[in-house]
Amino acid sequence: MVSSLLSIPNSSLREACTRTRNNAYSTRVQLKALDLSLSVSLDRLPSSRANKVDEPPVSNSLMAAIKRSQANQRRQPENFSFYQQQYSSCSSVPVVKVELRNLIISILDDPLVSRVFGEAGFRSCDIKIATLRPVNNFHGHHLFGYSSRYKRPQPPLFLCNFNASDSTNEISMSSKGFSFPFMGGYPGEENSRRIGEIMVRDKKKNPLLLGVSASDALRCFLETVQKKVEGVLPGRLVQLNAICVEDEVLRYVVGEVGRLLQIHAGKLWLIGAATTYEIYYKFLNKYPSIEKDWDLEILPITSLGFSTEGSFPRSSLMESFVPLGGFFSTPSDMKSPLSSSYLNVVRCHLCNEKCEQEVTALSNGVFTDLSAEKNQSSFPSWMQMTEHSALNGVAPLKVKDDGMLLSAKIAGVQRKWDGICQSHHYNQPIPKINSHQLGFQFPCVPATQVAEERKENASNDSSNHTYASSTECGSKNRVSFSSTDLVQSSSLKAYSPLDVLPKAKNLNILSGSGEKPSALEDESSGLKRPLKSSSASINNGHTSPTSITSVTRDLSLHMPPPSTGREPEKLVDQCLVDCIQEFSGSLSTDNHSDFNPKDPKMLYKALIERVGQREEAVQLVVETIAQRQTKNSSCRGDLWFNFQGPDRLGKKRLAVALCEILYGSIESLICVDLSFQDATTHTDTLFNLHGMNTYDVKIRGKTVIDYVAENLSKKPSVVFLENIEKADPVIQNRLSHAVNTGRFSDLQGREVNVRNSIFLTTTTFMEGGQSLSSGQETTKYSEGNILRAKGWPIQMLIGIDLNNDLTCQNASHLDGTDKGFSNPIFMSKRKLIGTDGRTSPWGDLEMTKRAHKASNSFLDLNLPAEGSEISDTFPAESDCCSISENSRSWLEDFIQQIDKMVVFKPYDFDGLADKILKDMKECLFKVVGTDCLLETEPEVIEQLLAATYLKGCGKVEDWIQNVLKQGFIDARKKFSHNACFLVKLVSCKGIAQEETPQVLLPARIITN
Amino acid sequence: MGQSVLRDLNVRVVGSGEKILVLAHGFGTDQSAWQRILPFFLSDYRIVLYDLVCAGSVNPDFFDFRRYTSLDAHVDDLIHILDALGVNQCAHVGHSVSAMIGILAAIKRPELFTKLILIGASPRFLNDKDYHGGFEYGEIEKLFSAMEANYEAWVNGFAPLAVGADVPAAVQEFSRTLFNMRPDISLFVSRTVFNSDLRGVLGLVKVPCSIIQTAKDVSVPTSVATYLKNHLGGRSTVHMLNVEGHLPHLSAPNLLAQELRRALSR
Repeated sequence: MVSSLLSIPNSSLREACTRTRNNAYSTRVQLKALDLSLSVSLDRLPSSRANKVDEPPVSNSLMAAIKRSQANQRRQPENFSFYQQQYSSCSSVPVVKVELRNLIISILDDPLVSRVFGEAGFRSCDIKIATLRPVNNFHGHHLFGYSSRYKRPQPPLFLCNFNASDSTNEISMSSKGFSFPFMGGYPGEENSRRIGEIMVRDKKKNPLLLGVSASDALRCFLETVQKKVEGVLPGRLVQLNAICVEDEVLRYVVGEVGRLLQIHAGKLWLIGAATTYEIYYKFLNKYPSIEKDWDLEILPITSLGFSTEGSFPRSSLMESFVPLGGFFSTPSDMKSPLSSSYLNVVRCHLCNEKCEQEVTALSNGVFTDLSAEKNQSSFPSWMQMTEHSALNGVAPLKVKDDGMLLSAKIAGVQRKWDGICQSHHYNQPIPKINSHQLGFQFPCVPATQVAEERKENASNDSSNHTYASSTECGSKNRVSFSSTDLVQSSSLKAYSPLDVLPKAKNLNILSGSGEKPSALEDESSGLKRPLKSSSASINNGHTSPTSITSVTRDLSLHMPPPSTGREPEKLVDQCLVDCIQEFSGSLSTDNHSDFNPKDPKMLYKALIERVGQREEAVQLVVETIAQRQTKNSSCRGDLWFNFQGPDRLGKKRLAVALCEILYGSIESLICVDLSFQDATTHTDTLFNLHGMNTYDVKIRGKTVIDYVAENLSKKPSVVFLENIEKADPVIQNRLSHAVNTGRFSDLQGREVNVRNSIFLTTTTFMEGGQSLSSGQETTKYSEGNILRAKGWPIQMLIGIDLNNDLTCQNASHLDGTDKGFSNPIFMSKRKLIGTDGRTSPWGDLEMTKRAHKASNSFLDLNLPAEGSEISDTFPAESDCCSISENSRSWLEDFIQQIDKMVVFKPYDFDGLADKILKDMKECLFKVVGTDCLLETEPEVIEQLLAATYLKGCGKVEDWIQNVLKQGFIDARKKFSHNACFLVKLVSCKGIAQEETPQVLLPARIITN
Repeated sequence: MGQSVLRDLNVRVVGSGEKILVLAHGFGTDQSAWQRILPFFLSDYRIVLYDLVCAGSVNPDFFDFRRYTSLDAHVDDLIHILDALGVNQCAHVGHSVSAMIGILAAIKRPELFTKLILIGASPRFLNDKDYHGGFEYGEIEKLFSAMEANYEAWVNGFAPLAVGADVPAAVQEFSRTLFNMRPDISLFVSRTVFNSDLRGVLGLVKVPCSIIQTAKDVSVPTSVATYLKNHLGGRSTVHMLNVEGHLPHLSAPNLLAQELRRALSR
């Protein structure tokens, strides 16, 4: 078709090509190549649509091109297209009459074609121009139409806007020599038009231009008026005369003008311009009534004037853009469309393989055809691609292939796979669909691949694994599989069973675990059946979680398929339990060689050992776990706890301990503190253990939910959610859903089975809704402060007891660091600040700032210097301290559904502080004598308390007995004990930073 | 107009709340950019989502190069949408160019908006005498010629820069949507954006505004946020997000959602 166009010697296309051709190649060769590739690209796809005429088949893209050109023609008034009579060609379908020129443009519009042209050394837009522009005018008017309606600047030449898109606004591409500037719009004109619009109104018709470039706009408007250019302005305004009044004169005229306006209403307009609102405002202040008197309408002018000259989209841009996924494919692709064995490097291996397959299938004459060509022009490339592949599967069409078409098809297939491959790898939202599609279309390929892999693994698998590791693998695998199932069942309805395979494979690869999932290590024959059955059960729609997991469990443990009934399942359970026991037994290296976490007493003992002192809470947890274990088979495996009350560390400790004991490693612990949103700078300096999966704000681009779901899908875990009362509605929903159904779904809707996971949620609230802060009002040392304590070096200041002398002596030192916290008044203030919510900041800088701030203002330390000024404007954050009604009611509901509520008692910091003080004093007395006074900064006490909280009393006692005592001894050496001492312990922040703040108990005491 | 604008610009209304919230995406993205923000507001707001006419997801045929020469046409689009939906009052969350569109719309129809939230907004990108917009004229021209020369390469280079953070997912997403735009449209719109200057009209905005600004944004210096705050006519506040990048809704959706929630409740 196109080749015939080209082969007619004086066809316009050929002529256009010749005119625009690149001199680098000889015309003949070029045209030949063009001919070839065009025939390939346009004929490649026999139409499946019902053509009125069946013979000869018109390719879809050609058809589309014809349609487009028809539409184009229709839009274009007859009298303008003077050249219409020159060529009136018929396409092969007799009914369709298209004007050749339009047809050519439409064809050129086809991205594929333009790519082909590009390959052949033409720029399709050049050809377009050449085609549109009659020969004799070619070198003629390359003009930029100025503001005339009929020569308005043209947008870049894409057929869609080549003719004006709406009928009222036709643009002549007329005989006068088509003016084709790639010039784009002209904002000045736009402004003038808007001014005109205002002026023809009845009310408020005097525009006041406001904006930095308002005067430019005004000037432009006046030019337009003076030149009496048609088109931009409404007809009534054409005959305008403009008189300019400058600012100074204005003052005198204000009144006059007002009167004039009234008299000559309809004939006189006033246009004002002001650069900024501020100027206008001043003006308004001077003449308050002016807006009304002058009937002003403010018109914001926002576009700058200088844009008019220069580089609007040029043709080179168009060339680089080929919608049909053309960006991604390498240029070599089109050069050898006939040699099917050359495959594109860009494609991934898998796609390559499939492509090859399809190509061979094609040459055998069995080919399912694509028929999505009609959508080509308007969709982004990835959409087209999916469309292709979708239709490919859905509407198989057998085509008789002759040799001519075959090559085209092969090219088409290659391109299609290119596209699929590209969209698979480059476009985020699409891969899901595509990968399903892949699995659907070529079930055999991935299946065999997996099978191969399996064989390999099977041979490796001859050695016996210990039970322990196999359970770990098993459990891991189970989760990944069940999540696969879930994804499948939620997003696909009825796909072939084998579909699961590639997906599962993907997942396994994604999970990236060091050891091979044991399912793959099974012998290949055994795997086929269970997999099929599992996916079969998916096809049935909603299946009970147990059936799926039992199937997968069978997979991992070499058990017979589930069709045999309940019996094996129990066996499996037993097996699993045994494994867990052995596993954890091997892990706990101490005396508990026969440790059995199933035994409540053992568990209790182990937990207490790690958690210490929280006997009641531990007891409750252990009981619940034991209960669940006894009725194991009938229940879901997930356990939900809510830890209430203060004692954050205790809760976390228990979580860590549970995780270590039940799941063997701290890596299974997923920690999320949901209050992180309130205090962005909140960190746990104290108990960050390595290896824990902790969500914090730094994990960006990932929501809490996605984070949890991702980790849960890897293996069953202990999910430790702190401060769930702060959860946002999204998280609330997901949690409720999870506690009800046992499935945790992420934001994409993928569900993860939470079976065998333990959810620990914490609230700082006590049972009666009494909050931590109100409960702690009377205590001296709040938990929040303790947890924030940092391990500063401790300095000992020694002075002679002349009452106030000491503080004076050290005033300079004290002031810089801590605003004299020894002062009881300040101390109470600090306590207030500390307890009024999590938002209160800490650290040196804030310490100094705090004095100036309202106590609950939000402060972000990490702001740049000028940012602090901005932060002053933050209104008080009262709303984040109090919990909204909504979430409170949600919390109540949620807690009702939870398995067990565990109350943690507040840790008795005050008592502990007293005890530490007493110990220290005793120590001092022993060393120095009773006539010495000991004064201790609250910060030091806090630091010591934190140490106790973290490491237990013993460590601190040891520290007092060794380090502190040594410090006292050193001090006594320096100051012979002739007078009363006053020994003061301060923490010196910022002095010795080289010591890590993590060390709460410094190894020695600095003496001055 | 009417219904056709709803269809053409892929207007979607989701959510079950009473109040109406318009989420308007910025240059180089489409409404999918709000995907991660959306769940936070579904229960409390009826959310209006739409694509700017320049977005890759809109049929490029609708982009009339003569009409969209300034932001005003985009403003008209927005107002048409709201009118067609019968919205009387709404809060408008606009990112980059949409923030500017929101400002202009609020000047044109103040009664329509209860609140403007401006994310990464700038009244003018070019530097001026005593104004630091972050770009010199020459730089812009370079940028444009880079876009013209090889759009793909430009996208690949620009996307990580704009996202500004090491969030590959966000970079990929932004590249995708940016790449979906037809290059000529993309270039045309960025010209329009760079050629606009809203400084003079900021005072006309009487609607309360919240300016959300990331700590490091390649397109918008932090001083611009202060400038906006000082010159906007209504009550306005600045919220700094301690993250990097021009697209916090892609790179730090959690944080932004919280901030939005706070800003909306004020």
